[in-house]
Amino acid sequence: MHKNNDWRKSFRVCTQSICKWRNDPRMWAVLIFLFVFAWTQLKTVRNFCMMQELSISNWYFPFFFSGGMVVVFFYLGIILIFCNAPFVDNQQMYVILRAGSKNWFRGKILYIFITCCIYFLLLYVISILELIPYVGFSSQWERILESLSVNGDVGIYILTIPEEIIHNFSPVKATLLCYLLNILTATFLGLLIFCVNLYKSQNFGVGIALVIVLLSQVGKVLTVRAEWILNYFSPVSWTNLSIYKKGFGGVPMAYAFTMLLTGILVLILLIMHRQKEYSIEAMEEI
Amino acid sequence: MERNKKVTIRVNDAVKKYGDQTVLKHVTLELEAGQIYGFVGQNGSGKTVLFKSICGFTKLTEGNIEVLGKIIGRDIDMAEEVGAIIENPGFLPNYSAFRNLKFLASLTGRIGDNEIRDAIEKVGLDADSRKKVGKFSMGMRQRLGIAQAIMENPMILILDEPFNGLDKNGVEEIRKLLLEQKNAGKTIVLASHNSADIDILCDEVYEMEQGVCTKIK
Repeated sequence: MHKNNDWRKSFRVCTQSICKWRNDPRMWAVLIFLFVFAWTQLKTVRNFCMMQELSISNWYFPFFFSGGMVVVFFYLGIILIFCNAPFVDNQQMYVILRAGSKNWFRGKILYIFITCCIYFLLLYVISILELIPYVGFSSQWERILESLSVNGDVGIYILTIPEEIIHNFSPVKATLLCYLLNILTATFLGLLIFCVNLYKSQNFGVGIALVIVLLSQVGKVLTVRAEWILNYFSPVSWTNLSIYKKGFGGVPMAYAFTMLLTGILVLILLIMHRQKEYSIEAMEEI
Repeated sequence: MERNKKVTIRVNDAVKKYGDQTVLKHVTLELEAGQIYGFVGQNGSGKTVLFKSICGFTKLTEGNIEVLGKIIGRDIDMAEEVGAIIENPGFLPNYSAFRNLKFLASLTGRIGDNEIRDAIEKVGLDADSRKKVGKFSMGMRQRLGIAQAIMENPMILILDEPFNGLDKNGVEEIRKLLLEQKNAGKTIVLASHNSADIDILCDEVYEMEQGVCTKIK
């Protein structure tokens, strides 16, 4: 009925999982949260554009991750999406029987990666949609973002638009790098939850992921040097492009990519190893 | 396709432990094609664990299970040519019966829409109904569970309490269906709390008690 290495079945397991989003209240909650939260974050930018009577370019996306608690909230959404890993319910038992356990696990790993791609692509689209009618399409940062990077004060609001990002990256490069780093970081977190839940229990995976996400904020209460060192161990911090600078306080980008890719590979190997001895039990829906 | 009576399932000294608790204690069985095997026992006696182990969901602590000549966990990770109902049948609640089975059938690609419709009709449901499974009664879900188990014409059926939630007519229909499947040469393994089901259907009966499997008929 099935072969152990059938990537078509793994792909079908992935796509069927995505088809279930339509009727999953958790996914709707995450979607609404993204829209509402991004709206509140972009409110200041819209007001500033309105005051200056200028348009903003379509490259705001990297600045969602450039400081503050905003990034924590976006990653809480990721944790919520993957909190029910390993995603086994009574319906999935029939899927596993047909797909084979190995193909099914691979399908779920693929599902985590694809979901992260969709999540951050959606966030990028939201960052454009919610700046209408002030958004204009351009290959440059444009005056609004440049002036906000120099002086982030806008009345009583302060925006975090680091100069380093504006000066060190072109808009396209910043957006692509930010998108890629977020996909890898979120995939890492999703696989971590999956892996820990396989070896321990559902609560453990979420707990550890939460600690990793909050680690990105711990550095802010420490010394500058301590924060710099902590940046080397905080995957969520690696989504902030302003930390990629030479000299004191900077983290090499190659380091972040290497750590993320290595972490993802290790987790995949651990998951597939566990798959061989894992007794599949349907879990209650969260 | 005519099937010879041959051993399709071999359970070789199966042991399953969860921590200090042993739920399967050195179970050894040989099950043949064209037979219906009944398993009786109280809740927690090990029936479901045994069924799950045969399918490949549960990994044994000791021993092994061979299904159609292949050892689960060594040659294959899940049993092949098996249709099963394990615990409560689960389906996507916002899709129709047909769509649910089509989702599942697309994973193997072995059958088309006609076979899916046939299976749904055989269990007494309407294949063209757009009623969502979330609105099905327990009996209807059970029927749909049986349909998903038989639709790909597997050689082995593992049915854990297949008559749950069925009315008297439903029980009669499904009994008749299972006898047809048996006559087609399939190996049918079923668990039931109803002694009438066991007496009418089963060629051999095993009792599970605290993980120990004993042949009683």
